[in-house]
Amino acid sequence: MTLKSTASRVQPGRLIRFNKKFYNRESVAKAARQFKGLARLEIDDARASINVSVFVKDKKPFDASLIADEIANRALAEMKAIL
Amino acid sequence: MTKRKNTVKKSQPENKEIKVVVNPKIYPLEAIYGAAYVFLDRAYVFLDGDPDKKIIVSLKSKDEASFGDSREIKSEFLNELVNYSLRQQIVKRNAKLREYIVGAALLGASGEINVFPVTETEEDEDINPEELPVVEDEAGVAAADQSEAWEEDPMQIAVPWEEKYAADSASVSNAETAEKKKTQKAKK
Repeated sequence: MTLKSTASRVQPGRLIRFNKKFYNRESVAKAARQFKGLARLEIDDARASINVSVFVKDKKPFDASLIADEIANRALAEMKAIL
Repeated sequence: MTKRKNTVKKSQPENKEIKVVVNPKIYPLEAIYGAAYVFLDRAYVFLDGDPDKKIIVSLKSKDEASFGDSREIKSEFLNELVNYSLRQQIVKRNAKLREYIVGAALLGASGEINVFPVTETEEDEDINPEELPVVEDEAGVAAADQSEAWEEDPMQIAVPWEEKYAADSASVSNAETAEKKKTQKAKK
């Protein structure tokens, strides 16, 4: 009898680079925080950009690319609210 | 020969993506944010490039049906850019006036300073003071308004209940006493 693997397979993630000239760190972080329940998010503050890596585990309803796009939209909305 | 069934799943059509390159010397960054914000419900918008040289705006469709033709979307975006640029210009042009109006309103609300002083001009000297409308003090105006309001009361709504029904109630009470006397006499 073979046992089924219960380990969840991590899907390939998606990296999105937010140019610091257009997006600030607070806006990106605030946008990313809204999706932390749906994916594993890694925010890296680089010299010229804020890099957000999105990793979605199996059995999650949305894929990484969709979440990345949504984060980008939310970050833009935050920037518009600031200006 | 039997046809093989195609077991390969159809890949989902990728979302349409449009890239618009904007010259920041013509359109300010605020206008680009404003125009991009309009499209947030229909598209995934992403800004990239150099804000001093050229700005690249990526518009990726959320839903093919609602997104429409890519040319139309691009045109709409450019129109929004013009719209927001003009708004930005108007905001800049009227900034001082707006500040003055808000400041005057706040100071005027405090009631201490007359923020709109009447300046005398040469034309004012020609005006006959008798022709000007007579302005009473606030208490006088309020009293006059009240008396006028009381006078115009055809339904007698403002008349107190006691005054209005005093005569009726007196006649009713007289009739009641007369009846009582009658009944007492009859008993005797």
